[in-house]
Amino acid sequence: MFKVSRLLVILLLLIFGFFLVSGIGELPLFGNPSNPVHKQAGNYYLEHAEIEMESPNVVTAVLADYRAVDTLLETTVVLLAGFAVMLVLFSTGNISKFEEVVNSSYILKISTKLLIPPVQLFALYVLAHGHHSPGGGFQCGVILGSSLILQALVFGVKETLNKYPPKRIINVAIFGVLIFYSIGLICFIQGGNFLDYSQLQSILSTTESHTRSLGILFVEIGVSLTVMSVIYLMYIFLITKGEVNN
Amino acid sequence: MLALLNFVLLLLLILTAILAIHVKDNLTAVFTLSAYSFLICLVYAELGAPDVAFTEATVGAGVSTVLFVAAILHTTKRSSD
Repeated sequence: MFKVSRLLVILLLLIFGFFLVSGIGELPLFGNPSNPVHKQAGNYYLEHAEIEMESPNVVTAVLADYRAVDTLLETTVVLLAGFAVMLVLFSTGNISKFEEVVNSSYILKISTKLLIPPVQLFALYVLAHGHHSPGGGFQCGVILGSSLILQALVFGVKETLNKYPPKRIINVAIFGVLIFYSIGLICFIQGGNFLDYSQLQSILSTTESHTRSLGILFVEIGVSLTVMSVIYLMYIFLITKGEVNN
Repeated sequence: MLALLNFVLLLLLILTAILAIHVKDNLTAVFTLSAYSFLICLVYAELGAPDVAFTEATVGAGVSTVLFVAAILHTTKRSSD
C-alpha cells in the first residue's frame, strides 16, 4: 500500500514538473527591456528617483518613498513577530537560575572588543549610505543586532542582559516603529498624503528633493532600531528559554 | 565565463539543498542551510541585485543560523561524554 502511494506521488510530481519545465520556454528573457515588468511603474521610478530624492540607489527610493506604506507595515510585522516569539517563550523564571558557563579565552574577549566597534560603525555606514550603495535600514538593523548577539556569545548572556535589559530594548523596538508612523502622520497633518515626505519641507527648510532624501533617512533609522531590538530579543529569549527577569 | 559560474553556483545550490534535508544531525543541517544561503546570495549578486544579496547574506547566512543553533541547544539532549 505504502509503495503504491509513493509511486503515485512520484508520478504526480513528474507531471507537474513536466508542465513547469515546459512553461520555462514561454518566460520572457532575463533583462529584456520589452518585458511586461518594465512597462509598469518601474520606468517612472528609474527615471525620477535620482531627480526627486537625490538617491542613485533606486531600490532604496522605491522601498522607503514610493512604496513606503509597504515598508511601514513590514516593520510592524517584524515588531509583531518579535512579540509573538517573546509571548511563546516567556516564562516567569529568574535569570539568576540560568546556568551559564562562560569560558571565553583572553584572546577571544580582546578580539571581540576590537571587532564590535568597527561592526557597529559599518552598520551605521550602511544606514547612512543607503541612498548611494546597497543597504539601508533593514540591513543596518541586522548588523547592529548581530553585534549585540556577538557580545552575548563571548561575554555571556547575564552580563549582556545587565548592559541591555530586555524591558528597555522592547521600548527601543516600539520607538523605531513610532518614528516611522509619526513621520507619516506629520506629513498627513501638514496637508499632504500619509508618508509624503515632501510635506516636511516647511520644517526642514531645504529643497524638495533633499527633504525627501532626509525623510527616507529618518524612516530607515526607525526601521533599523526595530530590527536590531527584535533580533537581539529573539536570541536572548531563545537562549534563556524566556527566563529574563532579574 | 559568467554562464559557467552561474552553472556551478546553481549546481552547488541544489546539492546543498538536498544535503540539508538528508543529513541526520540537526547542527550539520543548519550549517548546510547557511552554506545554501550564502550561495544564493552569490546568485543574487551575479544577477545584479546587490540589495537582496546583502539582505540574504546578513539575515539568511548570519542571524538565522545563530537563531537556529540557539534553538537546537535546547531541543537536543547533550550527552555527557
